[in-house]
Amino acid sequence: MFGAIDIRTARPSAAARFEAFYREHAHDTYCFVRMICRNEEDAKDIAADVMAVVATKWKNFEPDNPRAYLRRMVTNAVIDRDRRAKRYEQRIHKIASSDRVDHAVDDITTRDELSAALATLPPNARAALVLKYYFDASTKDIASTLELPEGTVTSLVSRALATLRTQLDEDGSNE
Amino acid sequence: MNENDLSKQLTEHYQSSAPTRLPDDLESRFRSRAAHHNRRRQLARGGAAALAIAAAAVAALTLPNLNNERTVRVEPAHRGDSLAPTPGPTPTASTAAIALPPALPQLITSSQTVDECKQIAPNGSVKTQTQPNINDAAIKSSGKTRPWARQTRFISVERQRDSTVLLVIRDIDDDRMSVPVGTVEAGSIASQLGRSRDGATAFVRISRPGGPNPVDGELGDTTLLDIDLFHGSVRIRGKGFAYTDGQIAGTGALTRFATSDEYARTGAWVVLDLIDGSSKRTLTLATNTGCTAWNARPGNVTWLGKDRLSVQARMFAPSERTEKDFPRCCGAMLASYRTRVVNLATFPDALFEAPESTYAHGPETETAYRDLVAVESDEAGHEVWGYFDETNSDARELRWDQVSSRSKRPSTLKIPNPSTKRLYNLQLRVDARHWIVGPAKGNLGTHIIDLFDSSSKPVEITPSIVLQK
Repeated sequence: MFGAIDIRTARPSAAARFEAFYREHAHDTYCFVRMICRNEEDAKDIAADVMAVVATKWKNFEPDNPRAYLRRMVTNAVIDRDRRAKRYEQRIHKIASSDRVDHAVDDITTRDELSAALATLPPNARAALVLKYYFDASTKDIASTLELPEGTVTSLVSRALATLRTQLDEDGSNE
Repeated sequence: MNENDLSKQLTEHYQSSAPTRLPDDLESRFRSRAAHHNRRRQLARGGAAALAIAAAAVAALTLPNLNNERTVRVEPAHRGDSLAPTPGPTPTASTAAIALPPALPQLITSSQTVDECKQIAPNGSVKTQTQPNINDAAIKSSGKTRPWARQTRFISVERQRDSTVLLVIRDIDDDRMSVPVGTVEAGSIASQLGRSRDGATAFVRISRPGGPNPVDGELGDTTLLDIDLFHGSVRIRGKGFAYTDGQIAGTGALTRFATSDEYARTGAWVVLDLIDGSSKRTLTLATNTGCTAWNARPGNVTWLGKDRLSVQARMFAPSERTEKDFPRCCGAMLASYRTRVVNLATFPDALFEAPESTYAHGPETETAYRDLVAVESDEAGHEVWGYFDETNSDARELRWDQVSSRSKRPSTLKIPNPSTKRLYNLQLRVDARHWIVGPAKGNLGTHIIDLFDSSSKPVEITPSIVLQK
């Protein structure tokens, strides 16, 4: 399939290799992005986009740890998307009354308090929590994946948990 | 809540919310995005002809279907393959997961010269002419030419083996740039009649000797296509052909969807890859502008007729580009995407049916870039969007309550523009049949915009349909 990326230069084995890569990593990538992304459609877009980028650069794609690399790409994509959404929100507010604007960002699946609280965290923190509590990654692995110092990861997780606790406690006391 | 409780909650939350399988439409999105990245990459290399290769390559892309282990494989297309479009595989019950689109017509490659094109014309009646430097004037008058537009020097209309008429824009160095403008049936004659005074418009007459028209029943025996070159973009007007407006540099709007086999016949630049499985229907829409691709999800597509469909779609916004790089149409898509799923149900039809005098006039040809202002829809589903000259920062502050002031004519809106700069190309979409395109008059200060319906009749603007919030 991915001889299609550049049919003039790609070797047949490259297509096969990418197909195997896709089979191995697509689910994990989608799983990861779905859990840190607040919108299912966005999650699909990001997962597809990340794999497409890899496919496009497949010829030179040789990371030491492909899974971590993909997760980092996903995290960056989520961060980018959040930023763009915020910028657009600001522009729309300049020209429209706020009650008329539908925010894609606000279309968050707030099925429960924890989901709502998680949605308030920055993408990096969400990614760290997913890695820690779902993928059972060590601080070292999280740091490697997110390309952050271990100390930063520790404080990132710690702050995220503190925020969650505060919010959940507030919600609990309000009820 | 202590940390252990929270950790436990988080673990349970993630375990319960983790997807157990890949979504069905992920692979179609991947295809679309891969196509987009390919096009951008090829464009970045400066070869428009490479677009066709990329498109053909994407058409040949085979994805693993991880959910049911069914895969459809199609050999990739290569240069030198037959130019005639080939039908896609017919979906069957066992291989219905992906039905690949037909191969895209290939553009002229660097190995083909004008002389060769003359030689391969089937009946010798095709005139091939070359007009050098046709868009020099446009290029010189432009402050914002694109790099490849500056390299463009030659334009010609050529026939291909499959009767495709190509407007060929040749790079002065390697003659690789070419653009399909449409397909006419065998025996048609394509000739270039001349060019406009400013050198920016090439007039091409496509004549056909009668018989049923393969493109559109309304097409007369002779159709005049205006091919305008502005800033390296191409604008084509003409009944029966897709109103393909500025797809190269992206100044124009997506105006028509073509079904896959219609695409094969017309060479429309808006590609609709029909992936029609037995149990689901997924449409992948892509333009070869190199800047946009979007998907329509199953359930969001309604067939309205032979070549019409209603689509609710989301655009994949290329993250690498800034907003101002987006062409007008794409800007609309982008904004809609950002607000929520855009209702495209009437968008292409409305533009396609728009009276040429309404749509084609105006200063939208004067700049290739515009700044998106807003896209909104109210409770009734009216969509409103506008675009302004990117340099006109004041205009971005335009508010709808400012827009709502009306002039004496009931079909006219008066838009105060405090800026000393010109307001470009405001489009206000009102509903399925009404839209405003402008400015029709005015330059500085105030812009008068006429509102027409799809039959060119002025429409009275009432508070109930426009801009009154």
